[in-house]
Amino acid sequence: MSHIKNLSLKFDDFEFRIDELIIPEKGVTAILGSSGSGKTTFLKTLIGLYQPVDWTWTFKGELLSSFDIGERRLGVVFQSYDLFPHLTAEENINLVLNARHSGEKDRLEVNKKVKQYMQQLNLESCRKTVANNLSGGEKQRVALLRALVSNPRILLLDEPFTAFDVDLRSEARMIVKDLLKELDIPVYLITHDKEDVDSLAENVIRLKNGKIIS
Amino acid sequence: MKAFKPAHLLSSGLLFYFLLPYVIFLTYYRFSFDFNLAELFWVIKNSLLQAGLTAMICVVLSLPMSQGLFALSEKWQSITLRLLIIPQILPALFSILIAFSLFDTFPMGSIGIIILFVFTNLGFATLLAYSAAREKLGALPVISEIYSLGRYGFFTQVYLRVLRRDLIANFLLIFIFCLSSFSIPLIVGGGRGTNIEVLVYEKIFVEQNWPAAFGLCMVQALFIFVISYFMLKNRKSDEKAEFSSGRYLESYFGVLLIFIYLLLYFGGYLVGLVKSLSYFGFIAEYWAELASVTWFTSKALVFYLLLNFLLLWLWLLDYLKNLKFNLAINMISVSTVLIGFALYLFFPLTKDFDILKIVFAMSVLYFPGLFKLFLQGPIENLHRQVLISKMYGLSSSTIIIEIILKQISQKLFLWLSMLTIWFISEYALFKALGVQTQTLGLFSEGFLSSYRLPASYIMSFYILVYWVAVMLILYFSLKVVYVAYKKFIA
Repeated sequence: MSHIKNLSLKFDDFEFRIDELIIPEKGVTAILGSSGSGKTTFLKTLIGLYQPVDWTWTFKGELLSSFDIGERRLGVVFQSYDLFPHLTAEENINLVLNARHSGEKDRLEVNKKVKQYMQQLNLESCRKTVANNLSGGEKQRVALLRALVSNPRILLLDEPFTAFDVDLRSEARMIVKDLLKELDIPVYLITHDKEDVDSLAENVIRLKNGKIIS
Repeated sequence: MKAFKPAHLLSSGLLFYFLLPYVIFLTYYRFSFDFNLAELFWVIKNSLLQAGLTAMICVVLSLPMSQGLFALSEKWQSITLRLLIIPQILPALFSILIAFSLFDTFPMGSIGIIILFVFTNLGFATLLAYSAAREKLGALPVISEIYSLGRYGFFTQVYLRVLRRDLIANFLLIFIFCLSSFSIPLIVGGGRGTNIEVLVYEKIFVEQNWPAAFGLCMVQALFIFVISYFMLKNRKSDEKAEFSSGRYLESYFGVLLIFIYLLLYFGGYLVGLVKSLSYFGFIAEYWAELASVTWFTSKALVFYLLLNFLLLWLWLLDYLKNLKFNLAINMISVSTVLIGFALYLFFPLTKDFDILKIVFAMSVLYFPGLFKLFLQGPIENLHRQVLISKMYGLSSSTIIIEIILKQISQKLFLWLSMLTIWFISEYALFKALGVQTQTLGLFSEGFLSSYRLPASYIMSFYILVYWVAVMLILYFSLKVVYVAYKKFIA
């Protein structure tokens, strides 16, 4: 399980505080909150962009809060996907794959997985397309695959469907849902959208004004 | 006990590198109050007058000229903007030559300095005013037209009010550039136009009065610090808005001003150069000397570019560790003379140390400013990509090469070309360093100071040709290095 304690951050006109929080070790946990509730602050803290004093975040016995950004080994799909725009879909994935998997054998195994995911996510036709020229849906799927090949401890999804038109959202949710079912890692879904929660999440944590309300 | 962090060592090491000339100076400095107050007030008055009037003229003329840009098509705007920035980024030597050839008898002293300062900075001021209008006015020009505010109403009630803080910032920026200028006042200041930098130079090299020189440097540094502080404060908290131009923002009078300005600069240079071609034989007498000067400059340039690459690499490593740029990035417009003199004191006065002195001093003087001008913005735009790369555990070298440098390759090349042209045509700093060997810049300045204008013109053209040749070599060398990196290392 993921155990957060004594997390406190103060900004000019906003205070974020979690005294204690336990997040299940498996499945999708939604962090639900409206604008200004502290979702982004929470995400940035988990990633390592904010460094609160004296807080602890342990996961499977490891003190993640003491780790540097790269050492935390998280997979993140941001709202804006943030692919490397000058690289192709395949290069985006390979760059991360090579950084996170050092041995040749390890890489070959992951490569097999990548091929399988590529088919599953319908990305084969755009493998060689530069990220800038991908459609919104393709970008999201490449970002998801890039996160998966990074061998993450935890997968963070930050408002992953906000950029879609309403009629495309349910289709995108289905694709992500099918993929998440197969994963053996915890997923934290940060969202303001109740429909995301209903269709994907098994557990829900509600945030309001920088505090957990349920 | 806190763990030792190499990142801190790198950050403080880099900062120390850029502060080193000041540290050296302070170790030699012994305080004594030896000021001629009348002289001090006189140079401060000169400096403020020269910098203030220049900044005022530039900002006032930049208003119609920037509106002239809006009257042009997108394509011509882009071309004209590139031409307008050239007088600012080409070394002072070129502006001096052009100005000298435009006047039969060039007015030396403060008037001459102001003419040259305006000549050098006007295009840049226009670019600043144009950029501010694009960033801040949004759809206001069109809206003003829809509500029939009239051109005068738009200008006074909208344009000036919205851009007021930017125009003040532009004024201060040009003011700082002029206040710390050394190259132009050294040549055209004469006895009556001495500014702080030139007086510091004279105190050091003529009167040997180091405490007074240091005191003057501190006065100047204080001016620059105070102004920079207020300028930065003024520039905060502005948001970008979607821009739509309109007729009220377009000025054909401005187009005419731009045309005259560019004609004077580029036309003046061409005319001066063509007139000087008949003196080509004169240069031939210096053929052997020119060859040796070129060889020395080339050797020094190689070391200089290598050092800048090393600094850039360390600078980016520091950025990756802290996700913000080193504090030394704020060290723009530092005193040329102070840096030159500190190293003049530190190194033995023999030819053997010339390359070391030149390369070190130039990097301290120009690396932060040129980085800020050409690379800071493009790299900051990649901030999220850098963050993602760090999150996914990409190595620092992969992030620097594949994510940062690959995406800013054009800006990087522009940065390199500026480092090169500024290096090969520099003369003022080398004089302050007490350099014993001739460089291309010193060689040209020698002709200029001895009123052999045609010879100096031909040398300036030689510098341009040399610059283009170096950039071609650099371009292909970098391609080869990158291909080799991809094949053997990546």
